Amino acid sequence: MQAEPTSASPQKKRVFRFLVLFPVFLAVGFCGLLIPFLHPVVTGFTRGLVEISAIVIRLFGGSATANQVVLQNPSNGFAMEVLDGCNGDDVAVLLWAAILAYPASWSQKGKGLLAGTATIYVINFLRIISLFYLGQYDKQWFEFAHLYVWESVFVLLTLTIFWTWVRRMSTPSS
Amino acid sequence: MLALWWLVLLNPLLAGLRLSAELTLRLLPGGSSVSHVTIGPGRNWTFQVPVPAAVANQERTQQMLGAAAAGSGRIKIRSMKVEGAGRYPILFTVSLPLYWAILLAAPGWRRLLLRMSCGTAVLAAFALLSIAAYAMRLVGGYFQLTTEGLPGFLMDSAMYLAAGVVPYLGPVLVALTLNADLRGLILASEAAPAAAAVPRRRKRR
Repeated sequence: MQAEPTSASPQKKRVFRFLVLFPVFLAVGFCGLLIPFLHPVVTGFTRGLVEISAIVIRLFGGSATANQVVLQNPSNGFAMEVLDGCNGDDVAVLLWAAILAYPASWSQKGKGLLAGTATIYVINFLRIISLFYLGQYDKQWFEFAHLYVWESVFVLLTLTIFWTWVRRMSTPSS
Repeated sequence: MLALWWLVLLNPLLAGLRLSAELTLRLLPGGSSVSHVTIGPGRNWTFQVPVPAAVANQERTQQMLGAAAAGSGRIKIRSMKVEGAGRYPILFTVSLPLYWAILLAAPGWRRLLLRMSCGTAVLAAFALLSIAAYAMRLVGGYFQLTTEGLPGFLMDSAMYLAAGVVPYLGPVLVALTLNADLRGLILASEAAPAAAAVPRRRKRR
């Protein structure tokens, strides 16, 4: 009879600890993104992302040029500005906050952060390219995919990455 | 669920948000008779909001209204109209279908209706707060009140949270808070083996 409360108690503590730390780390991360002196770093990253996107599109036979944070198609004039919120940083902050708040060893956290962040940025890169083509096809669909579908997918993706990390982490010990 | 929201639920949700926003504005001091929120044919939102006397009497406001140029006395205004793009209010409602989709996909159908109602109420309150932040941003932008310094940073942060964080993260956090089964699945993956061990222990007894 006593085994149940003692085994449930550390689990409850872990969940409670996570629920307290996660919003704190999240707030710190989002504030970090908003701090004015970090803005050039974030914009520089976005610019790099746009330039790589243009290079990859050209490699696959498409037509794209990068102008600062604007990705454009010179052949039809379509241009798409990649804002700071569209560079995947927000979602990366979300994942970082979740992984850092979860009770695990630093090496496990490090692996999760590296793999998770890489996955997020690779998928965001695909998102930018898909939106670039969708925008040339139909502006309404572009808006729908940009603001609602991709953003929702990203949050659910982050949740899935985190869940996968937690499961993988607990597999050897169980 | 997103398709259902976009094609069927969006207009009713926007109408509900508009009504809630208008009722909230009417609760403001001096807002009972002058406050209106309307949605135009292009889905742009127009807020008619009361202007506090302190703001209306500011020198800069009076100059903007043309008092100094006309050389006349102070210009009195009770309310003002500001128009904003419709994409933000639409964004503020996207958290609801996301939340419903998460709840329907998550384990634990016990008390589904209660969880749905509670979560919907919380997210609707967030949507209302977000629309308030949006209206404040529009009014502040018109009067150039919140462009720099700490107030500007706070306003930017509020809009950033309202448009970029809450609509997407809100449903997940609310679902995790209200659905213990989902919380257990994601935050404590060893919950499944532990739960499986319970009947065995009971059998022995």
